[in-house]
Amino acid sequence: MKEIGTTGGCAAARAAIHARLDGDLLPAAGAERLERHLAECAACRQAGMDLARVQAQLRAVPLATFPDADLAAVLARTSRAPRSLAHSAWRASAVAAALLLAVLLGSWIERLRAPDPQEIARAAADTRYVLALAGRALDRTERATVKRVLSGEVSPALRRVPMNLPGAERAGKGDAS
Amino acid sequence: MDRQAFEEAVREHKDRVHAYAVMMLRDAEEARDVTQEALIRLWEHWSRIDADGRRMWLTRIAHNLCIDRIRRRRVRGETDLENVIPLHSDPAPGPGQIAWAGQVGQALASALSGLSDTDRAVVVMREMQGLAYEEIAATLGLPMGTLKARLHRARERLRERLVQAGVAP
Repeated sequence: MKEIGTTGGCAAARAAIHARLDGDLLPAAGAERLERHLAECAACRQAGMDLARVQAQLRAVPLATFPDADLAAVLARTSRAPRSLAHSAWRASAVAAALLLAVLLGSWIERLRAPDPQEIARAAADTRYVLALAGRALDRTERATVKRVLSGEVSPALRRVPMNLPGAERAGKGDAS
Repeated sequence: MDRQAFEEAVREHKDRVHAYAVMMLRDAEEARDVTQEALIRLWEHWSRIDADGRRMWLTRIAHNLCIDRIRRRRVRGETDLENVIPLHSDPAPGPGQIAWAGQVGQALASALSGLSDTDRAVVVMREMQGLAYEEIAATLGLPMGTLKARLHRARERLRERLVQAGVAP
C-alpha cells in the first residue's frame, strides 16, 4: 500500500479512513499523515465526510421489533419438550426397517401368488419352440453323421457307437458269428 | 430442559434476529417466519448450545434461513423489493420509523438492496447491530481481512448509490 502523502496515496488514505470508521486506532504517525493528506486532498476529505455520514445513517436506522403475537406463537409451539436427536434417529431407523420389511413381504407374496394362465401359455409356447429347434438340430446332426459313416470317413471309435444304420444289424451279426 | 431459561433467551434475542431478517429480506411476513423458525430451532437444539454461543448460533441460523429464501425468490424469478418496502416494517411504526420512510431512508434501503447478500449481511451485523468483527467473521465463515474488505467496499458502494440518488449522505 502506498504511503499517505500530501499529494498522492489516496488509496492508503481511504484505507486509513475506513480503519478509523472500524474503530481501529491509527499509529500517531499514520494519523498525522492522514490529516495532512485530507488537508490537501479535497476528494478524500469529501469521501471521509460522506463515509462517516453513511455510517451514522446506518446506525440511526430504527430496528423492527418481533410482534407479540409471533412471540406467543413461538412459545406455544415450544411448549412441549423437544424431541431428542436419539429419538429422531430411532424413529428414522424404525421407518427404514418397516420399509425394508414391506419390500421383502411384497416380494414373498409375489412368489406365492397364483400363476397367471396367460403366463403359463406363453412359457409353454416358448418351451415348444426351443424343443423344436433342438429336435431339428439333432436330426441334421444324425443325418450328417450317417452320411459320413456310409462314405467311410468316420474314425474307428465311431464304429463302436451303436447306430441305427441300414444293414448294420446284419453286418454286426455276421461279424459276431 | 430449563423452560424459564429458554423463554429468557427468546426474549433477549428475538428482536435482534427479527431485525436482521427484516434487513436481509425486506419482507415483514417472511422475516417473522424466519424469526419463528430460528427460535424454534433454538428450542430443538437447546441442550447442545452453550449459553455464550446462543447469539452467534441464532444469527447463523437466521442468516442461513434468509439466504435460502432469497435464493428461492431468485429461482422463482422474483425481483428484489427495493423502493417498495421501507427499512422498517412494523405494522405500527413509531415516529423515528416514520421519519425513516423519507427520502434518505428510501435511498439507503435501495442502496442496501443493491449490495450482494454477504456484503449486506456484513453491513447489517456491523453497522446496524453493532456485532464484533470476530463474531461476524465466525458467523459468516469469513477471514477477518476479507470481512473488513467487504465492509469497506460496501460503505463505498452505499456512498456512491446515495450520491447517484441525489441524496447527499
